[in-house]
Amino acid sequence: MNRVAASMALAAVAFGLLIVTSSCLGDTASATVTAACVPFDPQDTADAFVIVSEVIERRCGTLDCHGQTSRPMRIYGNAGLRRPEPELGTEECKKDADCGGAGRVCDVGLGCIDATISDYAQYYPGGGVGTTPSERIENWQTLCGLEPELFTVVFCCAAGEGYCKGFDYAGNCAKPESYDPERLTLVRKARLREKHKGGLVWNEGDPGDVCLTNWITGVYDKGDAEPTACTDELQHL
Amino acid sequence: MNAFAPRVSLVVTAFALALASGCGNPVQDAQIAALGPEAPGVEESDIHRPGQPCLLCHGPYKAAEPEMTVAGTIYGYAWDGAHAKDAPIPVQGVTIEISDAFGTSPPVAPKTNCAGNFYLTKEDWNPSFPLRVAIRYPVPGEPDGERVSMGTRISRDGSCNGCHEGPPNQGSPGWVFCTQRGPSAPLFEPPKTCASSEERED
Repeated sequence: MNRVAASMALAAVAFGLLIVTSSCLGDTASATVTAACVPFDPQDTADAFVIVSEVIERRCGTLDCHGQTSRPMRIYGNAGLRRPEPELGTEECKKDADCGGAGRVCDVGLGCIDATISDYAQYYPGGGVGTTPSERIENWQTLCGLEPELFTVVFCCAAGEGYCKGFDYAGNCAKPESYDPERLTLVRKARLREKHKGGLVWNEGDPGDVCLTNWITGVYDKGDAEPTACTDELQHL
Repeated sequence: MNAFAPRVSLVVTAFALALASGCGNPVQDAQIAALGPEAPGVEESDIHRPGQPCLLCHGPYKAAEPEMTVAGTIYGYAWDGAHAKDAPIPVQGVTIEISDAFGTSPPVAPKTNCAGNFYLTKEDWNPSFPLRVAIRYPVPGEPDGERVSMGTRISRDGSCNGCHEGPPNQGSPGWVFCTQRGPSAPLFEPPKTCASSEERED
């Protein structure tokens, strides 16, 4: 009896120590990670990400899916959840300079808001204010930041040698399968190649899938194609 | 060893109980609790709790009878003799036109009752998400009424009021109205009486 109890106690202590030790590793280990994402200029309405974002907003960002604050991949936009405006803690702003960042303005008495919000009363899902540049920045960050290291490999390898400065092309891109877009959870979930509560969003090769993967692999950024697949996808909605 | 056996069974029982109690969903439980009690004078029926997310209780989690797949409430604006009133009123007789990912629709399109409520049970129609939806609301003098469709698909929540709740805000487009509020929008008369389907059958 005593031997059994003693053995169990010893095992519990050993397990606890293992947990404590492993949880501390993150604080002490050091590593340099290079991350890159497809460039995006939020103030350029012709940027390809504008329409890529719209596809994601409408297909993924509804209020009952990724348009929820509880989702790790949270999507903002006119078709779903709106980015919180005004910025918290900016209620006392007096001039645009108080807001910092391009495209942010001070609505005196309200706070710092996106400059494209002309009628704040219409800033709600389906309201008269379209998706704002501030919302697109959030969407860009959430897509790029889901698996930043892997996204970097897929984008920088697919885009070609020298496209990403400081990226180890030779070390990362020797095998095509190492930068297959389907390595990204974002691509796999939409294709239902792995469990996805929202089910099948599109099959490989469908307009929405082509729109997303062309953006990820830098096809639109390099000007190799127009985002017509995105336009096609939006017509199906 | 025999003396040890009761202790083992006690530990096993406690572990099983702990597992069983851990099967609840505290988030959904909190959402249900936040709905509050029934409105005074309205019993549990097809006219209770208009504007609330029906599937919180009548969905897979609580499976309250009848278990529903899609359900919601449709509102309109009333006329006070001079202006449209701000307070929403339920609209009866609105037809819900709905189809799922495979293009199937319910055998019979549901209609709203006097509380503005409609629902489809699992037996009526068990759809595959996402869903497309439109409503056709009654307009005097127009036999087919007016049709308006939802701007996006329903991805996974069968409760209309799960997203469409209260006045519009940054997290919700607001309750489902037949029309936008405006000078040319048709206005609706509130139902003079409202009885549940069971009371109507009596």
